[in-house]
This record gives sequence, structure tokens and C-alpha cells, in this order.
Amino acid sequence: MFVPVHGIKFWIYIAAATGGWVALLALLHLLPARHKRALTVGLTFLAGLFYSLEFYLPAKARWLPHGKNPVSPLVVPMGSALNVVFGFTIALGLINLALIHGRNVARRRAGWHNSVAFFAAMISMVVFGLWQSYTPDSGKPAALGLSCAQVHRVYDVLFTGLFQALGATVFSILAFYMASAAFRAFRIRAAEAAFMMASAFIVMLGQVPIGRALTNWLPRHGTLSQFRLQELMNWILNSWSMAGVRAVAFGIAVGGLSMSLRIWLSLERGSFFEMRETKR
Amino acid sequence: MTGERAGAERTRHIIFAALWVLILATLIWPVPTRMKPSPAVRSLHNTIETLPRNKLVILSVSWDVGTRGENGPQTSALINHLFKGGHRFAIFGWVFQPGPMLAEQIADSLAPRYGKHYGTDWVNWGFKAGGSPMLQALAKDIPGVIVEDLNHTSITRIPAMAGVKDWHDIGMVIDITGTSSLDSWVAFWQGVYGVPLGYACTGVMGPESFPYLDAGQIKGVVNGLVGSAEYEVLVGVSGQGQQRMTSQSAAHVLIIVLIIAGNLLMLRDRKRRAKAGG
Repeated sequence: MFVPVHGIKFWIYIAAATGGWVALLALLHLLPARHKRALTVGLTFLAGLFYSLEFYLPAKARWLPHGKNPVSPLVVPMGSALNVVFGFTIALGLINLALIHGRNVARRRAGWHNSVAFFAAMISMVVFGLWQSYTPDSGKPAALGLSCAQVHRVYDVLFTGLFQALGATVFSILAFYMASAAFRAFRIRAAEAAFMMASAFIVMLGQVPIGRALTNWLPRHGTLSQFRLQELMNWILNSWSMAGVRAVAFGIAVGGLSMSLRIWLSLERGSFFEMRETKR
Repeated sequence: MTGERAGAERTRHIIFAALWVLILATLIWPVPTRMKPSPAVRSLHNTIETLPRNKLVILSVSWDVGTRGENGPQTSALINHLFKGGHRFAIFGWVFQPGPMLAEQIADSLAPRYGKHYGTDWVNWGFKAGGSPMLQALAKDIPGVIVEDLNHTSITRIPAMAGVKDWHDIGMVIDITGTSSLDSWVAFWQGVYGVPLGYACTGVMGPESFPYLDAGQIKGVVNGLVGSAEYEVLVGVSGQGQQRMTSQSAAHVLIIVLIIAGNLLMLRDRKRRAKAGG
């Protein structure tokens, strides 16, 4: 639908789009609250209607205009537009974080040094992430006395050496809490708890080779093979557990449908302007 | 700190230390294990075996460092299989930004073993924002949505992308994930176009996928670390899945022992209290 442009034309388009959006946002800002609300509600409804029509109307039917779903060709440009919107949300997140942590540092609040660490991490990751992304990995000089290879090396240290290791560490701490909780909290106080514990033991042992080895003496085929831990585990997961998961998934789907309808029709309390109005 | 609280703290530290020592020891000295692939893992393997070579496979890498312990070996086992089978594939992230870079590290490390090269045998689409609407658009116009790869090369200039325009040119989507990203693939790709779907997830998420597997909406499931170990057996490679099985076995046994010990202590306390009261 859209044709890419290059060179000076590209920059003119960028400037025109930016100027247009700034003017539009300024205009919207001047509108009274009730008009802003009506506009937001209307746009939300249109956006929901677009995807509903695209999904529910058949791709081809004689009764449709030109025999095809009329909104389907707009799915790709709409996806690109949403990409831009998501880009803005990342920027909004960064601005919000910078404001909160900036205030912490400026007012020397408790733990302000953590906010300094945040700024150091964010700025270094953004700078070296973008820099290495647009720099070939070679021995050529880049800038600030660093070679291109050094820029990549710094980024590797930040991403592989720090980010990956720290992320994995935070998640792995869960294992320690789980082990501790298993000792302190998993108590048989009722028949249901005993049933759950027996199932948990079978699934946990059936997942690992040491557990499977416990019942390796049973025949591989025939009726008795069904009592091997791996088979028992599969039976629990594929029959008992699946029935529960199906029920939960069905409930979530029905709840999600009603929630979507409420958001689409702007019936959800607290959406858009109610929160602000309540605060007043 | 009261005596009871100090005792609880000491017990907690002992548990932490026991788990740490056990996992470290079994990672250093793993015991060779024999794995019997489950039907769900075997089904995914067989589906990939029968895929046409002229179609691209999408590896949806919806994970980051937090679940690398499970999703990393799964990605490795699947890439091993795709390289071995001579299938072109695209690494693609749309949930977590670091995913495509982490998967790229894995593909880069495995490629020399099979004599494969970036650009001809695989491509990295990088991370694309936009969620489910973006996936809907992707099905209709892949070069239009992806535009360029992780290295800023135009998708249309990459040999691995030759002839890839929309969902018709995709042989399979394999969602490797630590989050609930499967629903979107089922709703907007498998449900609408019938593109075959594979699934590799963290152990705790496995049960959620079984209804889809039972309904035939996904072709197979690589569930947790044990799933990747089973997949490695089918592909005929020795990877981290099998190497870490001893650690997982040891951790599971320790947790079972702790649950039993906790219950025995509860029974002892109950008896003591009953005696004191009676």
C-alpha cells in the first residue's frame, strides 16, 4: 500500500509527519475533557471494529464488495502503524523511569545510589547497543579513541557478561525459594493434599531419569508397563491435568471475551478519564 | 531474634547450601543417562523430518535469559535438527527483545559443525514490536513487516529469504517460549491458515499446551529440560539437555526429601503437642 521513499524526500516526509502530529496533539490538548473522551471512545471502537471485521468476515464471499474482505488489505499498514505506537510506548517507559529515578537522585531519597546505577546501566546499554548495531565489527577506528572491535567488545561485556548473567541469577534464585517452601509449606493436612502430593511425586520423578529408573524393572510393553513412572506421569498430565487446564482455559476465554467487549465499548470502569475524574 | 525464628533461618540456610552444593556437584560430574523420548517430543521431531525443504521454518524465540536454562537447550536441539535436515530457518522474536540475540549465539556456535552460513542457511529477523496485530500482518506480507534483518540488511537481499512472501512459504512455526505466546500463533496462524505449529516451553507451562496437542493444533511439544534431552536423543547429539539431567534429577529428589522431612517434623510436633495437652 505504501511505497518507500529515499533521500531528501524521506526527510521531508519525516519532518511533515512530525510537524503534523505535534500540531494535532496540540489541537487535541485544547479540546474540553468530554470531547477528548468522546474521541478516545470512538477511536477505541473503530480499532476494535477493524480487527473484528477482519477476523470474522470471510476472506472471499460473493456478497462482499468485489467478493473479498474489504478490510484485509489494511492489516499490513495497520500492523506497521501499531509498530510505531509500540515504539512510542518504549519511549514513554524510558521517560517515566528517568523522571522517577531522576527525582530519587535529586532529592537524595533512600536508595538513591540504585537510581544512579539505573542511569549508568540504561545509558551505557543504549549508547553501546545502538553504536555496535550500526558499526561493523572490524579494527577500524570508531570514535572517542575506540576502535569498532572495541565497541563490540564493550557491548558483549554489557550484554553477555552482565545482562545475561544478572537475569539468569535473579531467575535461578527461585529454585532456592522453591526448595525452602517445599520444606516449610507443603504439608499433608487433608486427603486432597495427600492426593496432590502423590501426583506431584509421580510427575517430578517421572520427569527425570533417576525417577524413571525406579520402575525400569517393569516390562516395556503390556498392562504392567502402564505402571512405569513415565507412563503414570503422562497419564496424570494428559488426562487429569489436561481436564483441569481445559476448564481453566475455557473460563479464561469466556472472561477474556467479556473483558474485551467491555474495553471495546468503553464500559470498563476506570478506563480513560474516570480515574482522573474520581481523583478530582 | 527468637530461638524458633533463628532455628528456621538456620534450616533455610542449610537447605540453600544443600541445593547449591548438589546442583554444582552434578553439573561438574554428570552421570550419563538414558532417555526415552515421549510421544509429544517424537511427534515434533517426525513433523520436522517430513517438512518440505523449499519452505522456511520460523523459530519464534519468545524467551530471554530468565528461562535460558530450559529454552536454551531446546533452541539448541531444534537448530541442530534443522541444520542436520538442511532446512532454512528464521530466528524471530516478538515478546522479549533479547531472544533473537540469544538464539543467534546458539546458531552461530552450531553452524560450523554442519558447514552452515548465515544468510544462506538461516536468517535472523530480530525483534519486532506490535504483538498479535503484527503477527496478523506478518502472515500476509513477511518482507513488508520484517523489512531488514538483525544486521540491517534488507530482507529481500538475503538468499535464505528467496521466494518467501507470506504464510504460504512457511513450512512450520516453532514457538520456543517461557511465556504464553502460543495462543497468538494458534489464533492467527494455525487457526486461520493451517500453518503447522510446534511448541517448546518451560516445564511449568507444558500442561497448558496439552489441550492444543490433543486437538491437533500443535504438532508436538518439547516440554522443559527433559524435553530437550529427549529431543537430543532423537537428533543424535549430546547437548546441555542431557548434561543437565543429573542436576535436575538431584534437585527433584532433594525437593521430595524436603517435603517428606517437613511432613515428618509436622507429625512429630503434633504428637508432642498432643502429649503435652493430654
